[in-house]
Amino acid sequence: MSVIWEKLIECQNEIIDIFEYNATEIEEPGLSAFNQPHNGWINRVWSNDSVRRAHIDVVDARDTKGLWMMHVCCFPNLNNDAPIYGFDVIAGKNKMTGAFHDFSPSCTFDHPMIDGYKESVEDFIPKKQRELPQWAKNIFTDKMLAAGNVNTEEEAVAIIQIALDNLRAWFDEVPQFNGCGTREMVLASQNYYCHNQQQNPHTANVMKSLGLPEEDVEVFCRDMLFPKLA
Amino acid sequence: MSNLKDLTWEHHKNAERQAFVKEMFGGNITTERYAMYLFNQHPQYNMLEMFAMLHGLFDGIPEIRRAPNIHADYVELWGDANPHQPPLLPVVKEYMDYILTIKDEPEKLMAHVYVRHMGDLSGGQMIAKRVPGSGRYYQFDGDTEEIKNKIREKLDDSMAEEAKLCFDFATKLFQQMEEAKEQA
Repeated sequence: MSVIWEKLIECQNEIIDIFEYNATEIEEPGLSAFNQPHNGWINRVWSNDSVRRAHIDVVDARDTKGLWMMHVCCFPNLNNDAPIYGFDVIAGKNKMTGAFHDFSPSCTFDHPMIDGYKESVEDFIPKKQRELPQWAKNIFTDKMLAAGNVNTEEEAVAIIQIALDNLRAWFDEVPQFNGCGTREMVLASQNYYCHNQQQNPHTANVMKSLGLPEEDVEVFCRDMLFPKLA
Repeated sequence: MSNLKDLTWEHHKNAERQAFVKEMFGGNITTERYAMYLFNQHPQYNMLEMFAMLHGLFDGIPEIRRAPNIHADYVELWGDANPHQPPLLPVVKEYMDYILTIKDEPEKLMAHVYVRHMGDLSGGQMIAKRVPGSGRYYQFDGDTEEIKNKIREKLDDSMAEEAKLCFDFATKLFQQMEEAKEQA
């Protein structure tokens, strides 16, 4: 197995361990149809008193397409103004073609958790910075980690380590902000985040290119990946 | 260090619970609705800032003046050529009348600056990304954290009751914006 894939699969397992340690796995209506480990498609969700949804989505198409993709997104509860955790990776055998990580603001940019996040990525300057489209600029911080063409083990490990450390920190710190958010504002803000994420045309295209059924991908991207709340 | 944030928490949160705030934070507000909001904010800021400046409350922080920026945003979105103006909501006159009653009390005026301008420097930065137009309302010359620190130096806990009043005026504006939507 390639070193990059090996590190990413270790990362996937570590993320599931972090979710298991901090939260309880839940059966979200409709999600089980998209959790098909035997077909290389994993979709699992956890929650706890402070986190309404911690989701991991992995598409393992290494054998068929030579690609591996992971999407991780965690939303705080609606009375909590903490930022939204996000980590997305797509990787071929010898490189990560894209890696994205952010603590995306919910109701405010000047949240202590975002300050901490920015410090954590301060010294990390990927070799190749990506230009972001408007939908991404609408929701991500100006210190979003966006790297492309990551082809060295060193850089891949550095990105993975930051994302894992920040996920642990996120789960540790989120409970401190229960009650700090107003339901209406947090809900509107999280929906705004989902709305903008849904504008990303690459998500569905990449999933289809990985061999997932077209009709499944459409439903999945609309209802499961970034579901808006009523 | 003042505890105004804690002392005014409930009133602040009540303002945030209004449906109009959800409309802005959800990125769903139309150009027309947002222009109407700016049209109603402008005279309130203008009067508050005029008296605040007379008392030297903006000394050292002249960049926090918002009224010209709000007006510029309004003109951008509503258009100079438009013969009609948006409706002026009743709370605007009520607020301006109220500011006249405290025009000689700089501490009270400062409490209003805390609610409005600190809000623009904080949550306002988020709103800027989710509303139509250039968002000059929320653009400040300089580092927002530094400006907030300079404002904090001018605050003390005795301003809490007045700040609560200002939050209540803001709540009323948001409610009247919502009522205007329902009536449209």
